[in-house]
Amino acid sequence: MAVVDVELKIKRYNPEQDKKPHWETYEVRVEDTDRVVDALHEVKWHHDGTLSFRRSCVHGVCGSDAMVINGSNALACVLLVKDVGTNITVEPIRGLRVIKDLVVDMEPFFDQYKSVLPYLINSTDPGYEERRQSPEDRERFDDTTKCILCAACTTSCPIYWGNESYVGPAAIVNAHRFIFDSRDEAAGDRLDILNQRSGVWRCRTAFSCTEACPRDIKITQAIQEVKRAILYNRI
Amino acid sequence: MSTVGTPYRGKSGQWAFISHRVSGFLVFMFLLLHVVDVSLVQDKHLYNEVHAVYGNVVLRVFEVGLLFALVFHALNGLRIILIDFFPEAVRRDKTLFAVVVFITLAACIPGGYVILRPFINGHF
Repeated sequence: MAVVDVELKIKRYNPEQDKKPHWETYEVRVEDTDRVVDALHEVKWHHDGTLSFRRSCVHGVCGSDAMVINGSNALACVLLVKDVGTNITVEPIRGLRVIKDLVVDMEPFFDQYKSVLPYLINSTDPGYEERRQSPEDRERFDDTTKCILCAACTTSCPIYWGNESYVGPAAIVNAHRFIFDSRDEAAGDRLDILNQRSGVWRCRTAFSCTEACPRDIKITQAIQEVKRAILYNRI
Repeated sequence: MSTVGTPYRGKSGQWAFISHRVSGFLVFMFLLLHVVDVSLVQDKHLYNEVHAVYGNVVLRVFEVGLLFALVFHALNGLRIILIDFFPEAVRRDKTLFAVVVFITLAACIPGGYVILRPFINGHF
């Protein structure tokens, strides 16, 4: 553990004052084992209180603070200063409208998430018992249960940057989580939704989503599984 | 630094994606040119004159670029097909990309030499 001076270059934008975003640089002193979000706190609390960014749990669970850090998407509360160096650039995630500084409008992202019916659909009444499932059936979709909806995947996707109607990797991951759940009955509906123009076929397997996921979900693999489920009409 | 933003720093998959589009565009542009030059076959004299132009050094270098684009685009297309149909290929996409780049270089460096040989040896 050592104290280091970090040069933090942040893309700032205040719609009430600025026509275009601009870069501002801050010198902050942090521990090298601190996270990038600690350096951002240092700026906000001691240098410039007007800096806006989202964070909530600050422990990589709530998914609020996905940002472009040194050129690629990451959670500011997971990435350590010693792993990114002392010259850090921070930008808002791409493909979503910037509201202010690092805060983007997440509504389109959540609308796309909601469009794939991301909840258990089962018309039978289990009575006073749980809906039981074998460990093998649970394992089938284990990877995609880890999503925290931080949007790091969707906003790293070059297709999504150019086509905002594409549902994006995060929505497909959350559809996958229920499509392959043996307790669910609406896989067909979800596959129909994802078989549309805005669905899985927009994916061009650039793997940026898989690289960006802070939960290490194998996103491209999940998307390909959904594509094959549609193609072969088989889950 | 500009206000527009920095290029996104993706990994090999992103570069495969970008290269695939750039090489595809180049090959398509050549195809249009090729349709025009082959259609000149009606007039033997004109056809021969136009095709003689392909012998100059600038267009030979262009042809080397075309060779790289064509071979890369074809092999990366096969990589994408493998990724689409075989789960094992999705897990090994980086290895597959390395294989695509290796074969492209292994085939196109000697191929490029053959195309440029008259200029390298000075016999043109």
